[in-house]
Amino acid sequence: MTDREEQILSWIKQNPMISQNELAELAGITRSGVAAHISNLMKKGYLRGKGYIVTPPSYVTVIGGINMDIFGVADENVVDKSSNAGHVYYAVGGLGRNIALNLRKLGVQNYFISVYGDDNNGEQFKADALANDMDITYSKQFADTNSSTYLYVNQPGGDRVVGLDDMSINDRITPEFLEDREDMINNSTAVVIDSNLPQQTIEWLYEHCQRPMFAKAVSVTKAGRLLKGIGHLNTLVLNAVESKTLSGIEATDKHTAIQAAQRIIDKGVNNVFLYIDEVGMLYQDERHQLFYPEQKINQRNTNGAGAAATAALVWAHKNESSFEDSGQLANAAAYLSMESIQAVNENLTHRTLELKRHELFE
Amino acid sequence: MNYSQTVSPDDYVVVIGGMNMDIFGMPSDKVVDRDSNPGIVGMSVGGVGQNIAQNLAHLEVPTYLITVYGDDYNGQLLKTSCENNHIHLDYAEQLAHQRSSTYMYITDETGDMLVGVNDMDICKQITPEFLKQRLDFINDATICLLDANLDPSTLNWIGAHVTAPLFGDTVSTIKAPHFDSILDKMTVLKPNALEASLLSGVKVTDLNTAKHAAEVLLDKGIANIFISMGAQGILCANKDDMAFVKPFKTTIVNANGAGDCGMAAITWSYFDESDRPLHEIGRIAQAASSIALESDKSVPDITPKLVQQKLMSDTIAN
Repeated sequence: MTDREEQILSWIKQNPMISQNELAELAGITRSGVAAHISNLMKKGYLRGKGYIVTPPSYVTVIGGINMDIFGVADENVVDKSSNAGHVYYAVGGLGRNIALNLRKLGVQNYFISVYGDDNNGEQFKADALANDMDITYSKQFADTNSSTYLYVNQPGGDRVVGLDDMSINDRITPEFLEDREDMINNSTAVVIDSNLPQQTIEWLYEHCQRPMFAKAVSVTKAGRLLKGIGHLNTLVLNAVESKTLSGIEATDKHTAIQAAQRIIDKGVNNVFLYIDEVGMLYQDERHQLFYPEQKINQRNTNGAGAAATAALVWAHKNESSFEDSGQLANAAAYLSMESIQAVNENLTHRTLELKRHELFE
Repeated sequence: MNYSQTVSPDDYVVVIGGMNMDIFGMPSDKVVDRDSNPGIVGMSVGGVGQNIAQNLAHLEVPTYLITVYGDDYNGQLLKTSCENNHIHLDYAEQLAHQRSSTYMYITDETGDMLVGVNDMDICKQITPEFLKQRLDFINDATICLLDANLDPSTLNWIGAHVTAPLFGDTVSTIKAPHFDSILDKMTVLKPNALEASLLSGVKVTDLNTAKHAAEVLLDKGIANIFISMGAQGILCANKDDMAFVKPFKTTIVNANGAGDCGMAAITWSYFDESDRPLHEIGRIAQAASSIALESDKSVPDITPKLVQQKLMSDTIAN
């Protein structure tokens, strides 16, 4: 912050309702001069988008994908090549958005950087962000582009049968797009990304982001985007299906999971959280390996477990939790997510997370 | 709400059936099971009742769609779509706290269906009580068209209380039997070969077996039966007459929707001229189906003029 910016910020802190004209008078400069300083304060993360509410100095930035999730859950075991009676649900989701919302529920102030279209799905996303008190000031709405959509069919028990994504809009999150937001990104306490971002953009972040980076891999076809420069990551969260692409080893059990995680750590990643459906979850760094075998829990929808675990790890990092605590919290968060038919469990708070952790580990 | 005082000054058709949001996804490459597979997602307004109503509206028949939809986001989209297509929703109802009917499916990279989920519970709300309030309006219609998305109990009630001529679309082999108890009330029914086999008990494989099935169905009381046999043709029959009409020469772009368009054309034919010979009705149906097959949309941009043109200029396939 410049001296002038600091001065303006302190006047705003004293009187949040102060107008730009009044600030101009106080500072002895023009109103447009004030506007420029305010714009810079916003870019640097000291002020929020609307109403000049002063942000607390610590916040996280999430850069990733938004999706309209449209999913059909069959009433009975799915019959292939046929129309099955069931329920079709719509939910605003997407890895980045789910991580941002999980963080919001855990009380972590965060900004969500993403892109969406001017279509019905885009409008629904905006309304949803408002309803959930998410900050999308730094996201952008594009005209004449379809919002990202993820379409999937689940068995009655929650296992996915097949999923399809129409997500080319994410290509709009270019390095240039992030350059405009660079100051704000580098004022975060942590930056969280998902592999929906184009590879170029991920590489730009590896090069320019000065804050601890957390990444969640999504999909076999996209996980590879994280590879070049992956050593910049503080933490990588991934699923068994992505393990081969990211480590060269396919994680199928505890043993192979540890091997896969070690490979990734050897590349320079500090922490790895790897989960294998029906088997368990592993949290590993240079010195620790914590494996949590899968517990028989009421699973209603596995979609969202990874985002929840990632958010929990970011929260734990912010609170400077121990390695063991972090792993347990990530594990508990994943289960909380799986219990809910929604990808983000409505009831998630730091209290319910602690309760779940207590239930699982004591 | 009591609609019995409302009388429409002009002739009109009433369609009682389902209205869906269809959502489909097609991957760009072979599917990698249980994962994110890149592709294209599309959405369009569907449902057999709605599709037929839309075709009828394009064919300039004043059409009232009696259906239900939810007060969710899709409900609004469905309502707007009907308004844009001049389908009257005066006697439809938007239900609070209900999910609009949806059909979602994912295909493989060639377009063949892999799996689908239909969520059409809301159609159960088209009950006898619901229709009773609209009975006078329904009975003043020139034609009352039904689709098999309706519950059997609703169809039975319609059979017992509706005096307007009843036309039926069988929708699918699973739903076609909904018509079982009211076959003798039907003025027109248009099943495909499989559905006709199911309803008649006669396995339809060729023209001869189709004729046999048609006779059985006419004996059950259907006044006019149209058995659609895909590329082979359409068999049209009533007690006095029988005609088999082959398809028009067509370059197939998208097979989705041809059946609904054919049903709408048959309805349009009766609406326009109730005494048309069966053979001509068959030609009209095939002309419409051909137009639908050549369109990439499930409801083609059909008009009466296009149908006339197709009838006059195109040739029947050999």
